Amino acid sequence: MSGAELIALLPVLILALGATALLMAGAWWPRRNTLIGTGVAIALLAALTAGGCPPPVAEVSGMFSSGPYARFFTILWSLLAAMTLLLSPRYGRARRFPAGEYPALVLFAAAGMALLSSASSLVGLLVGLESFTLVLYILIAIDKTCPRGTEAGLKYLVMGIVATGLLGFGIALIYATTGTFHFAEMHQALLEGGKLRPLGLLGWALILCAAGFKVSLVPFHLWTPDVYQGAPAPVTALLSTGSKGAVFAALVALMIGIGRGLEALAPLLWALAAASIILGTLCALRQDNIKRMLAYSSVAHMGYVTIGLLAGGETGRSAVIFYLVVYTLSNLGAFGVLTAFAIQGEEPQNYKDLRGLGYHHPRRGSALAFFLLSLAGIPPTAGFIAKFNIFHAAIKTDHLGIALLGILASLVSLYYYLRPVIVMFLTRERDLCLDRGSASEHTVLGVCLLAVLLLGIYPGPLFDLIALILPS
Amino acid sequence: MTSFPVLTSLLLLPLAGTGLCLLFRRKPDLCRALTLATTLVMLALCAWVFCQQPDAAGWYLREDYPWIERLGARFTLAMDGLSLLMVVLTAFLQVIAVLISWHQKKHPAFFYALLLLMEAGILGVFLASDLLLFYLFWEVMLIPMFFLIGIWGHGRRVYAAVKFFLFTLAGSLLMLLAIIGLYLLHGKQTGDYSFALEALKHTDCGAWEPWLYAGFMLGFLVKVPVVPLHTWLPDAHTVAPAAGSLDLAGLLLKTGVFGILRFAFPLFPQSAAASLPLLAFLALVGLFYAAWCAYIQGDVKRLIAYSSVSHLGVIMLGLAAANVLALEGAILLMLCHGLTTGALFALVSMLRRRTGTRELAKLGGMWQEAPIFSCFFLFFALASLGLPGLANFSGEILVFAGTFQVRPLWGALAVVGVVFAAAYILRMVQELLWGERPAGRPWPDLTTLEVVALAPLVFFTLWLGLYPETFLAHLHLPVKILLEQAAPLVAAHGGLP
Repeated sequence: MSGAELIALLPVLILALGATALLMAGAWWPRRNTLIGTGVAIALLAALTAGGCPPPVAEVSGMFSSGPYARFFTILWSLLAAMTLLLSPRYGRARRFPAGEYPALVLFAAAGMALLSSASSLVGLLVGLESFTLVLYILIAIDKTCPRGTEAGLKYLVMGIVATGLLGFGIALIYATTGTFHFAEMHQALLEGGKLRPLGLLGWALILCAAGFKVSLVPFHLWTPDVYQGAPAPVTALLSTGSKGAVFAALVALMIGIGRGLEALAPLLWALAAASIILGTLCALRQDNIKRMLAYSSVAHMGYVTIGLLAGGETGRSAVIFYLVVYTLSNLGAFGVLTAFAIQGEEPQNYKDLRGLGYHHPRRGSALAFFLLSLAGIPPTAGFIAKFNIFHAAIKTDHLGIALLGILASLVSLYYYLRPVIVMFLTRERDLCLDRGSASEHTVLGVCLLAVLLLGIYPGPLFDLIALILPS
Repeated sequence: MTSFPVLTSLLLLPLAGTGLCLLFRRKPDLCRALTLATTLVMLALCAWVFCQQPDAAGWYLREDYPWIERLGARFTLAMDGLSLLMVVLTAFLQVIAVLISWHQKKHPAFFYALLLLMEAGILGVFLASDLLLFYLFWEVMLIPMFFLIGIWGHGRRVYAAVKFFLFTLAGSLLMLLAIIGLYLLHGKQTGDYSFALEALKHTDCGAWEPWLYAGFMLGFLVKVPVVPLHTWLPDAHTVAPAAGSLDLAGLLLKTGVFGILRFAFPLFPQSAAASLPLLAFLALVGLFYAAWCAYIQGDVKRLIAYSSVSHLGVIMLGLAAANVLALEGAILLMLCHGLTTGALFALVSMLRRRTGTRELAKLGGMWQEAPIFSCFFLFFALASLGLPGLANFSGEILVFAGTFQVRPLWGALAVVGVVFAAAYILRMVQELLWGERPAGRPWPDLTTLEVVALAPLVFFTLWLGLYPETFLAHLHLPVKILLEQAAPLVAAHGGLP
């Protein structure tokens, strides 16, 4: 690896080395808040470097790209890590998160996600995916005293290992067919004779299944509700946004040169999307626990994103990326509000714990309602523009059926997103107050709220940015 | 014409008011004053526009800014005579809504903020000339109403609020689908992907036209509401607070009719023409069915809610007749209905505040108890019945005259509907104002503030009844343009009935 390649990889290096330093510092000098603050600074520094320090080479060791697309996601996941850390001090104190390990692991996760989103070869894909899922196993079970957390960590681990197996097998099949790991060459070799080669299709299917595990598409979603419920709220925020977003970002990059191969994959993608939307929506309807509801709703959301992949083309891809950004912000905001409500590290989960919250905590109550409306896709939130883009892309590529299904599911989804809102604002008030929340938590919520609102009213700049970064 | 962006400020003012109310939520008096000031400034702005003359194409004002350029959506606001009247009605009723909820006790700041937010949404719907922008406002006005019903309602408020939300959202999502479809068809044909209404009017939809038209119409008809889709309305009205009912009846229902006139008819004239008989049928069914339902209601507010559905039937009949007279009548009737029904809802909530009930069986003898209240109530009830000289009459007579020109049988049937209206209104008036007064505490009469809130409504009810030409003058040009653009509508008539 040359010096130029190291410089190109600098943002990820900052994250990883910074995380290592935090880990070391934590061993001798376990001050939680200082270390978390340093973690935030490191993440912001990585984001700044990714944005302000142009890479001297376009690709690192033929595995990772350092183009604008990769940089965009590096910035996004670094900022996500910073915001997750900002949500954590009070919560971490109550739950006695290990001082050094926690911020270090979050930064490692961000580094892994950034690597995954910049993968330009199948090996890079595997490395990126594994490096952040490994971290997440630990993060989910970081509270050793909480049996639910341990259970969730174990579940995620078992599912993750299956997914890794599938991914490895898929990559092996594609490599056996084409003799290359690199995306662009791979697509060319796979499409010899104008059609996707059978082994290639099998490889693709296995890779999609593995991705399906990670982003919890039906029928690979079974771990989702338990893990969401068991993991600490800030970790759930990271898990539900970054880990899924990074996988989709990698899939978008992977599918850029797919050409006619998309036709062969279309039935598979269609089935995954439709099943996820239907099952996610129906299961979410029955939940009385907001974390489980958000888990099932995220299954449905991943279905919507898959519609974008199915549509393909420039419109589909930009719709996917826009959706990912908006989904990340809204979901982070929703889990952020739950974190900010937590007393003694216990966030309110059941709907009955949310009763009348809108009056005792009007700002955070309204914020949660706003994020839920954004997830439901009601204007003027950004969620509407995001869904609109997806449906637009689907109808444009003649996938009218799945667009109709998506719109119908959005209507149904409104019911389960409204239930917490109703409980917060429309039911009789009660006296119990939750925590006031700390300034750093409020900052994160404010940033998310503002971003979701602005992107809902004036999404033009993000569209332009996405058009700029999307490799053609 | 000035360069001052009047239309944009019409949207931004209430939004600013919303923000200020939320900011000063610990000072309810300040919020109330701010809200009233905002609505009054809005009304003044609207009055100023009302005195302007339109240009040759019928536009009073047009504003156009870039918005989401990659999708071809622009922030285009335009005001012709039709939207002018609707905007004036909105601004006017919103002042009344603030006045009648002056003594709001429960979370006042939040209440006023939502009221203003809804005003912004409704104005946006009336002004938007870009389909995506229109859809955005269409949904924005939904959320405040949901909370107004859900938080400040009485009785089964959550049920009613959710029902309202789901019904309207189901309709509007179909409309969204149709909007995307139309947008893509237009883009494929011309290469110009745009949501601009003027551009989309020239799209050749081919075999898709009936489907797109149906998508739009379902969105609008739920809001109107036309009879099989109306079940959310009585529930929503029954539980809604006074200002909520006023806005619901006076404004939200109008957005449906407005949408049909502004979007559905001009965009899909062929399908619209083909659907006119069905529309007329639904209108007549609604007219009679709702009147019949109104007659048997025991709850005054539910009765008025059904009477509202019945009146909307007359308005829809005017749209289905689709000639100059009937359309102008229908639009005029929208104004009249907004005033009279709004006033009746306000009166009913004043009644409930005094007596604690709205059940006709438990009420009676108001005329001796509260003569000023009874006077107002009788006045608006008679206006709602269609007494000549008062507001509703002028609109109804135009609709009937217009309908007679094209489909005499429909017109004849509709006139019979007025008898039904007389039946339920007179029953309500008789049981409420006369009859036996139940024993109990005396009921105080209207306060000065309440009289002040109602007096402007009386004034305009008389004005609309006696000299509607002031308002009709603004309608001649837009209706003419509409009928020119949707030529097949006119050609659709021929033969009887």
